[in-house]
Amino acid sequence: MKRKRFIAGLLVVALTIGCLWLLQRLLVPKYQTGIVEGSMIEEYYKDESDHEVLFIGDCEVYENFSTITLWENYGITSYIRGSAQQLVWNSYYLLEDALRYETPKVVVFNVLALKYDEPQSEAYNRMSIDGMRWSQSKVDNIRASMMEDENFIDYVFPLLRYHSRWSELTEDDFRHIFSKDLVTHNGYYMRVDVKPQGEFPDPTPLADYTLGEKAMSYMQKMVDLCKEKGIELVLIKAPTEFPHWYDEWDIQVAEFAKKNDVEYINYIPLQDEIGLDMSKDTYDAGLHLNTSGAEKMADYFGAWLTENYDLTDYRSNEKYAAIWQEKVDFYNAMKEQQYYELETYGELKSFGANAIQ
Amino acid sequence: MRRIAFLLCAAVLTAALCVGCGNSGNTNETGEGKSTQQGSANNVKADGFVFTYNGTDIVPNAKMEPITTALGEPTKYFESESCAFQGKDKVYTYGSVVINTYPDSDVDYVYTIELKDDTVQTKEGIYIGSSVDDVKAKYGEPAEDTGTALVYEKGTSTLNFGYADKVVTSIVYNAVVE
Repeated sequence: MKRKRFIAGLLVVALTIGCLWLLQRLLVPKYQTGIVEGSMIEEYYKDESDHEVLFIGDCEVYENFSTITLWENYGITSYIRGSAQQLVWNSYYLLEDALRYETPKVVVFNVLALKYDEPQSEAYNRMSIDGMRWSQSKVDNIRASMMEDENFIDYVFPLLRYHSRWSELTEDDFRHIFSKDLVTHNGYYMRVDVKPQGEFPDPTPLADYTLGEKAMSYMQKMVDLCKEKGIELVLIKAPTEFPHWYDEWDIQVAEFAKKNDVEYINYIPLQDEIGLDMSKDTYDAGLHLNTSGAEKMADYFGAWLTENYDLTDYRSNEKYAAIWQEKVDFYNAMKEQQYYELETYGELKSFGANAIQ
Repeated sequence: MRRIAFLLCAAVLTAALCVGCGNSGNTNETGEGKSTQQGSANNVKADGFVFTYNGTDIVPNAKMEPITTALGEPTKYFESESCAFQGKDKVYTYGSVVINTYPDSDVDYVYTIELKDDTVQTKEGIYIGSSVDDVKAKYGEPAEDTGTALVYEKGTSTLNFGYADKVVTSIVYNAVVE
């Protein structure tokens, strides 16, 4: 009798846990249609091949560099570990996390996020953190990122945060309860549409142009970590002009790079040299590049990388060539679909914020 | 058998209760109901410096909608979508006054107010071209002097007077949204 009760008790516990787990799987956002940026961090683990170049940072990396162009033109294996408004501490812990799986030769970090010295938004935190596998890096990332009204436990059990999404569930939530589709091309977010750059407002004068202490300290940690692992760190400012990148910030980053003996390249003044035409190479009026722009940027950057670092051209390596051919096919298929939608409907229907599920 | 069925029902009910509990005020997929690009504003009061333009009071952290209603069509307007579509940052230009906003739960709040030239002035009569001494005479000692700007604090706002050669070169009201 006692044994029966014990088994029944165990069954209840197991069932409760099982139900909660299943509900959690159902209720957490899937980021498969529309706002797909929340899928990016998790996608990295699905890519089992190694990478000689790893990008980390915000939308200025994942929308501005085509990883496929880097492969096709230079045989460079790369991955963009980007996420929406990824802050410097997010980038540091994502780098730390990536180094558990591989040691790239070059790490590229986009410096725009230095303008923020404190967490900005729970939504962005979630998109940068939830997709990480559990490790000390994830724990530290949560601790460094939480807003005042956030709780650590909500990251451990996302069900606590998302329990009331039940009334917002869509077909995607059921379809992707156990598996997700790839939404990027080794981290690159594709948009082929065009919305020409217009006039930007003048930058607002700041009382203090000093970049934040916390942000700078995490960039220093990035430098130290890369040096410890024998990785070359390259700091970049993507070529897009808005949000405004102040000269005073540029000088501080340049000084930091010089002091730490790392490269820093601001690509804003190099738009012409890269071949960017911001009446054609942007999909959102100049904030980010579209695919034609990202391919030009990747081609320019790939040439520089090849010239300055001992990177391997893997195109003649059968194993890598086969892996990357699949990626190229996926890239071309998505590109074709986006152009088809543009031609047919005059806008993208399956991509971007207004995508129809 | 009946007992097992009861226990199973209890397990499912417990799980369902756990899920159903709590508030549903921040249910949005990516959590945007809880926060903003610049910080959380839901609890921030607009109790800072007041700038008056064409008879309309504009305060950092105040809702923008009544201001646009009062001031009418702006001379210029710019908006930019934030990463992953977490709302829009908007810039309204009314003559020599530029107002930046930030979004929070589908509502826009005043983030900065910039006075672009000497045709407009603060309530206390400071304009671009005033001297640093004039500023100090009107506002007293600043909370901070960065060497290029005098920073005054009031409620949930700051008022920054950028200067060069002891002459005011920029005037910006900022919302504090930490």
